[in-house]
Amino acid sequence: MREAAPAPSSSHQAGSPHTRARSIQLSPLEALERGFALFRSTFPREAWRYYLGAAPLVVCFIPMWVVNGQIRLSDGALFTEAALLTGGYLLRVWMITGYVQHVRGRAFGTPMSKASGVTLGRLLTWKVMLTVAGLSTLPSIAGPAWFYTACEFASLDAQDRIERQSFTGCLALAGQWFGGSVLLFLALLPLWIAVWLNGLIVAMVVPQLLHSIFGVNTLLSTEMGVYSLVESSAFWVSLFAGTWLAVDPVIKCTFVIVYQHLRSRREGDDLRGLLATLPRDRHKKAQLIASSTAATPAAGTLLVLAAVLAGIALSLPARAAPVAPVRSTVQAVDDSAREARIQRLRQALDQESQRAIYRWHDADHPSPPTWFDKLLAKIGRSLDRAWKRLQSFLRKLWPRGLNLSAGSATGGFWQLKDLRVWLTLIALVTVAAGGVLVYLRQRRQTATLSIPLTLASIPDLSDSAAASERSEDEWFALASRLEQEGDLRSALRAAYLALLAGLAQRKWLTIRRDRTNREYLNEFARRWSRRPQASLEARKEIPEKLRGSLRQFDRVWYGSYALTPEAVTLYRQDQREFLSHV
Amino acid sequence: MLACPPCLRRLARPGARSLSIIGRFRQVLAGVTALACVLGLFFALLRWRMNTPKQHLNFGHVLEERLPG
Repeated sequence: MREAAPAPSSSHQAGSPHTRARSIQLSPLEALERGFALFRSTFPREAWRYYLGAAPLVVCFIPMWVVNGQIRLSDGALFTEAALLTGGYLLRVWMITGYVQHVRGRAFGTPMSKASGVTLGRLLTWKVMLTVAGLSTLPSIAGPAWFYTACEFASLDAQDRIERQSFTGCLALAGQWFGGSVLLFLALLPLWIAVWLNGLIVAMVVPQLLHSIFGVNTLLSTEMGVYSLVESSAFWVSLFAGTWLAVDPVIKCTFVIVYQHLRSRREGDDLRGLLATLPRDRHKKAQLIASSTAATPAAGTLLVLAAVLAGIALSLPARAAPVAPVRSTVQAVDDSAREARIQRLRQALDQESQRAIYRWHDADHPSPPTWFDKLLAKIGRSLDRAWKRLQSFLRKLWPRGLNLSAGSATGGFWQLKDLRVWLTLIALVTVAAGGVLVYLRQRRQTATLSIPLTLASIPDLSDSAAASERSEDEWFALASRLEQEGDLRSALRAAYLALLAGLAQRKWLTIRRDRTNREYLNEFARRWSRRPQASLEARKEIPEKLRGSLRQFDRVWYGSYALTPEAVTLYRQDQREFLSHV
Repeated sequence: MLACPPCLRRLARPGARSLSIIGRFRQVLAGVTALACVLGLFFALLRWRMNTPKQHLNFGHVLEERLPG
């Protein structure tokens, strides 16, 4: 430290004041870059705190948002939901404050303190006030950036026991980086949009891919599914939450960097100018030193050669001989002393830059790789290998010696092997295209064949068919025929239509196309209760039986329940028996 | 550590004063009030959501319309 510190300070003193002023400012893009490096380096050990704190609020909020849009709840249930969300918010504040503190401690060695009720209370008050202020100044763009920065600083300040922080202190600190915060906000917009678009594309494409590859039919794989997804506010809330969870921890780490930078400026020690640039400058200096040391032997060799040539060409003057070795000896002693100093400086720089507090600053700084780094490196190597294989494959396909530029046929010649590869490729593409065409043609033929068959088998049993089109006996006859042919669903529908037709013939209900089964049941129950014999014999089991029959039909026809021939026979017989009782 | 100028400057400054009991109580009370505000905000948001339903992923009406005999 004592050896390392003078070197950069002397270099800064040598620079102009303008350079000095510029060097102590942290630009938003640089802060974002450092923040991402800090997030990456602390991800394996600290990120769980963030996600464990942030996930419950999101996981609770989205189902509540969906359910409350569908079901009417009492105020008590709403209050319980709100209390649950408030608990999630409290957990989020507590865990994320801990995350930020641990990240800061890991990067800068700041002491960690436990969050107490007082600290949490103060932090909550500040955050709520700053959030309200930020939201109320949203149209101005600059206002939210300032208040959001102050809000982030409040999280960092809350647990500082060395100094007592204040609300206005956070605002003042945010004001010192006001321009940077606005620019950071603007710089984050493309990042937000990129993450958001990725989420949107995944939500749109994955159901289609599942449908195409595995044949999984979901609502989202239909055309209407996409429209319903786009119209769903729950989808947009989820997308926003996902984007927030992806980008927010990086922003938190960015503000850790900014906060430390501003604190170091306030305390008089320019962290960035004096210390944190050491690892970066180390490489440049090492390169310079390496180039100078590499240049020295070459210059020495040239001098020796020149001396030899001079010795051969000229006779050595006896007077000059004793002076030259003395000068060269003095110069050699100076060089060796300078070299030793440089070596000591380099060692001090190396030693100093190994400290944990500088790891965040340089992404390429040597530090023990974590499992996440190893995983990333492994994935990177696999991708590299795959890319090289693809490149070599494509290179093999490209005919060697083929020059497409006109007029320059120097050395260009075809090889039979290349021609064979091309012919094979063309043949494969032709066969694949032929296969696709045959498949499409067969599919079209199947479709054209299936339509008349479907129409012929159940001509009058579609959803638009009305029970009044045939008599009760005709419907039952049709049901028997369809049952024998094996079309069980249509047979059941025919029996159901026979039931309706029979009830209509007995004046228990009026058939209309726009009526639902529930309306039929209500009408039947009303007329059944008003019949003349009702005062003597209620027979309430009859409407219940009709309810059961209709429900059974709904399950099969609309719910696609599986059917057996015995069940259809039983259903048909039940309807006949029911009609004989009314 | 002590040789580090920033550390010396930090040590030279007076540390944070410990809060009195009333001060602590006031801060906790402010936190609880803030939490109550958050609760009220969530309640209002959920209530608004319930009173202005959207028909997302609700196909009940489709089934109702397909039930004529």
